[in-house]
Amino acid sequence: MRNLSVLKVIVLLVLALFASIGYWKFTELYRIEETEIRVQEKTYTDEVFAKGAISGLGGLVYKGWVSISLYASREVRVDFQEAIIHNGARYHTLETLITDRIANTTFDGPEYVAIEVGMLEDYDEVTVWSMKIVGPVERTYRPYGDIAVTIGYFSILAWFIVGSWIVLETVWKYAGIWSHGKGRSDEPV
Amino acid sequence: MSRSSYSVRLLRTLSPILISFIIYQIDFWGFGMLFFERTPSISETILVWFIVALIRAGMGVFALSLVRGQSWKKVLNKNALMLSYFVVGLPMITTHMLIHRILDVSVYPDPLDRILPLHIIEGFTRGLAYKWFEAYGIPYDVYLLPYTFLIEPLFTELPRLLLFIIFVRALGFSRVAMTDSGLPP
Repeated sequence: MRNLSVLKVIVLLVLALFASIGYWKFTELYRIEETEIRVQEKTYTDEVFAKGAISGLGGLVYKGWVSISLYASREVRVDFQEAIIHNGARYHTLETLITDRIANTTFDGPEYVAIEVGMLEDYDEVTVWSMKIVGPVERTYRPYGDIAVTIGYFSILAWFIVGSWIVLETVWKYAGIWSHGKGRSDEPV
Repeated sequence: MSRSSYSVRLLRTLSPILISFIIYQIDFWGFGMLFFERTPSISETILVWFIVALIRAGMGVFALSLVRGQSWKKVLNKNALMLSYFVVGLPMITTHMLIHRILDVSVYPDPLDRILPLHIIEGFTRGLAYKWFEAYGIPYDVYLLPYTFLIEPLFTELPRLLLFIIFVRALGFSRVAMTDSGLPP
């Protein structure tokens, strides 16, 4: 019985050690971030605007230049903006087009470019539009994110097991003292 | 053996199925109470997670007592409670969401999805059933109700409950004298 208790303590200690090392490894790996620039092509089709709506293109900020093709069922306002990335992003409109068609036009100039499409003031009907936009996108990613989260998951699970075990042992011990005055036996009644 | 005792034995044999529906719902309610339209604090989530796990563990012991045909006081001992807690008690949905919160991630990566066996079963059955129901023109919401109440517990909870009952006997955690008929005296 004494050997069993020692074994139990050893198992708990090993689990706690594994969990601690695992969580530390998770924080180390998850912290690493890298940036890459990728040419991204996105097509937005059959979007319908409500009156007064403005649409950014999925919150994307392109790096350097964009090539845009657009078709809309009625005229829309297309704003080409400079994105100023400093403590978040601010946008400054550099050029505006009011049109229902843009044929593969390239916009170049500022370091970061954002594009916004909006309805004109006197529109009172839904507008269907389709836009293809191609450009380099700066993407920050975690190269070890997958393995880090996997290690973190099992580390926390191991902590849950250790924590629950200690709490249950304590609850059982004190529940026994409260109910019988001298602790509960492990043996079945 | 009289007809009534056969009925009692049948009910006791089927009781893990009924209890698997209940313990699944306890997890479902705990999850809903915590995460419905809000982001709970981590300490609050741990507290609810532990309470849910403890209630489910208690239900596991209750299922054991029904199968054995004895009062819960007779089958409850520390080893049985511990085993019930770790095999039956740990709730699937709430545990996943709690770890989500602690790791501060929005989705689990693909390698982890593949490792977690219950997730594979859940995704598989959901996808399969979804297509069947869609093919018969039944909306997803209508399908979801019987699925979460009746079908999913059979995949996620019943095997754990049966494992617990088998393990308790195999490990001798609840040594109860049996008569020749298999019933306890």
